[in-house]
Amino acid sequence: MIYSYSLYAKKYFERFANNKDLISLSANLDEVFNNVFDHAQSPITGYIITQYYPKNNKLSFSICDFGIGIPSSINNKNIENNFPIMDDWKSIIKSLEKGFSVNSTPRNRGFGLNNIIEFTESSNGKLTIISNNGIVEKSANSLYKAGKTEYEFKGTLIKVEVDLNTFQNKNEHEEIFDL
Amino acid sequence: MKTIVLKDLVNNTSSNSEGLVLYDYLQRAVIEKELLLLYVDNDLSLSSSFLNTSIGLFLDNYGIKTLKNTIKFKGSKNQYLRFIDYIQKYNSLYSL
Repeated sequence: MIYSYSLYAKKYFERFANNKDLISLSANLDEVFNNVFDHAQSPITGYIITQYYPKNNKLSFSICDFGIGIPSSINNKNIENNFPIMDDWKSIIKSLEKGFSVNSTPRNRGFGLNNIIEFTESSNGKLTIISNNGIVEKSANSLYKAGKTEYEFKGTLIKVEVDLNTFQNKNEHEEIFDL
Repeated sequence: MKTIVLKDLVNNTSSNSEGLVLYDYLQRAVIEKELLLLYVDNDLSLSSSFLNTSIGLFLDNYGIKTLKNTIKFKGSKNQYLRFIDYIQKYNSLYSL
């Protein structure tokens, strides 16, 4: 079960994390998994690798699928709605907007990839997405770097790098809260 | 007030389908006019897909006032803040 991966990754990397709360790591792994399930139409579920770098206390995860790609997913919807076709890199940036979704499933709300970008921003990290002919890089507190790749990649590769020093400490104390 | 232990109610807190399990429970609470204490364990990560089909769908159908009258949250402050963050994002985009 793919969701077990995020829980095991969290547990595994907690040994290096010096009492940091890694819930946001597992939550964001799930966001990327769900993005593949909901939109990619990939012939394989996907590949993932997670890596910890002790020297600078950084962690990265990369998830790859060989589906239709973010640009095709968005442009198929654009064609359906008689909207103009977007460049691949522009459609990747569009996919990161809060509330934007092609609604591949009825309950998509456009939070998933936006959560990833918020995660990289809040953890002084970097997000890289390569999908079809587009590449987008976004480092925390910097502008997007984006363009056309010089190679054809059929699918989507998402790489997230975060700084564990920026994570909140674990807080085991439980309380009751009103919403 | 009845306590629901989230990790005992659902198989995971990542998928759309398990979010619907929580939604059904919340919907029943509204019909039966019951106040629930939702206990979210410190180890659980709540994905947006799970929250879309549980809390998001509940907000679509019943609104924020009914949600506030139906649930109290039990857990760590970090977990509470993540839960509230989803509700705030949802409200900023989808509330009328």
